Amino acid sequence: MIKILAVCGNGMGTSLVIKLKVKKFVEANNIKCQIDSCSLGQAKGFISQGVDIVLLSSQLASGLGTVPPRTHVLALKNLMDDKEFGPKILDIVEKNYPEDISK
Amino acid sequence: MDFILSIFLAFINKFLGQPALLLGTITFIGYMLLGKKVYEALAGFIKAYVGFKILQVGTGGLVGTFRPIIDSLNAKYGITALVIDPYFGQTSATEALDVLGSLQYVGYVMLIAFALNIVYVAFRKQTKIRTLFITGHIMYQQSAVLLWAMYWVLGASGGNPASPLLVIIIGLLMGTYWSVASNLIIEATQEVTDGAGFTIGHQQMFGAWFAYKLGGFLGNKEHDVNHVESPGFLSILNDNVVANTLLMTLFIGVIMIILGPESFNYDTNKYFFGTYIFEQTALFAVYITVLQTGVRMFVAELTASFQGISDKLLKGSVPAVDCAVTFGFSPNAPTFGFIFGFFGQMIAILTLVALKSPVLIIAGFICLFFDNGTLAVFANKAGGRRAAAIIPFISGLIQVFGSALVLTVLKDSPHVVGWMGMIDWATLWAGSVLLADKLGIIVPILLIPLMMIIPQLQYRRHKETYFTTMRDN
Repeated sequence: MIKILAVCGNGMGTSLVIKLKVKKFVEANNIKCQIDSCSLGQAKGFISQGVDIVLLSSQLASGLGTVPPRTHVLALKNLMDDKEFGPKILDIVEKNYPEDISK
Repeated sequence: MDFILSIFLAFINKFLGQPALLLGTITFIGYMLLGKKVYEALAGFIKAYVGFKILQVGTGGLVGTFRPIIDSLNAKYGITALVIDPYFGQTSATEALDVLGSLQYVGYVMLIAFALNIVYVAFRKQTKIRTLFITGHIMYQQSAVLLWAMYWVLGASGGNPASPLLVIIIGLLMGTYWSVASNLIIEATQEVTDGAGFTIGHQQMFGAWFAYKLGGFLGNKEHDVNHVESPGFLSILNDNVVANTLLMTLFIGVIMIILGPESFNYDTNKYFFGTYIFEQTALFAVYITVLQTGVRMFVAELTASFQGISDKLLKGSVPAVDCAVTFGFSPNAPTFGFIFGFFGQMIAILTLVALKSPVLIIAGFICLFFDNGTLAVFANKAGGRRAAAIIPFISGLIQVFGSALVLTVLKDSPHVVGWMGMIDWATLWAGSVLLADKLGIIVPILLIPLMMIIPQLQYRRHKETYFTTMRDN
């Protein structure tokens, strides 16, 4: 199952909003996945345990440092817009984890 | 009859009167109303309950670490040092309310406020309110702090729990603030985010509105802050654990050095004074992380059920979300806001020291970064980098002075460690609490209709397009 991580500065509000938005999107597109949210400070720990897609604000992207090859980082301008992150998530899933989309 | 009544009263005290059980129950009912399965609702109940208990470990830890330092500073110099940061404000509120047997009322304040927000939007033709506040952690925090502050100045010193009437008034006032303030900032947020369809539901809506309105007079919006290269080392401040520890080491470290090693009970075989200071100040980051883990756990459950309720009841209302959602649209502005807000706060703090103020303020991370960062985002949109520097600087001054003023009436509350500090809380709410201290309960009551005038004025300015910002999503 794909693991998605929503990240924001303090890990309280924004990452939760992204998480709820992404959840709505993946459910509508029948993608099987697990979604977590956390702060930038905690993100490295999550990522080292294996995360496939990280979503965060473009303002924070540089703070993530280098990530393992498995992890795709989506630095977003508008965190509330599934038109921005949606196609990117679909693209990654179709290319790498086609088995996680149930028809 | 008496028998039934006594069972009923016991249920109120031992169940609905227990904050963790109450929040768990609200989550459970919310999930059932949304048509989730019973086992999902049960999981929500447990996570809300456990999350709340974790939160209390964090607030207890913060108080336990910080109070001895406050007390010895007070004993030695007669100065009360307090932190301006929402988590310190929240800790002060919940610890004091717990001592005074009123912590469970925070849940009721939050529920009344949320329900009122729904009613306002449902009657939007009359109220002109278009926004629904769904930022769960802020809703809990503000409900706790406003209840605590008003209750304290309106006679908590008598030791009685908060009266139901006060709880209802604070709930209505809170809901009015959420509705009016997030509604006020819709148009500016649409500008900042190129029409992203959300608004801010946080702690600086009035502040951000002023920043946007004044920004245009202070600079040129063509000189955008995002065209400036910002120094790379500042990016470590984006990490909340690092930033909290550094700030606390800086401020509390200085205080501990002034107090000297003899003021603290530590094992000199184990520590240098320096490493002891670092351990103590790093503990702030530890307990804030614990506290946030707890809040995140119960708020995730609450927010999911709030959002579900709003999707069901109010199609097309504009969601009011966390301020940091705007940061992606102006990535450099938060750093700008942080730096200039920090200068402002430092000057204000040194002024307090020079004036021998009885309340000394310690700068907190959230206030510096998220509050002044948001103001910088809005100021930059209207007035470019000059506005994004000047406004956070002024805000830094106000955050310290406003908070110091309101803390003069709150500093004797049990376990107090700080105040919110965010700009709306250093102005509107600090002022209201101070006024309520002088004039009584009439102040929170009058504020409700006064604030409701604001959306009416907004509506008059652009009647034709006013409701078109609401969209279906």
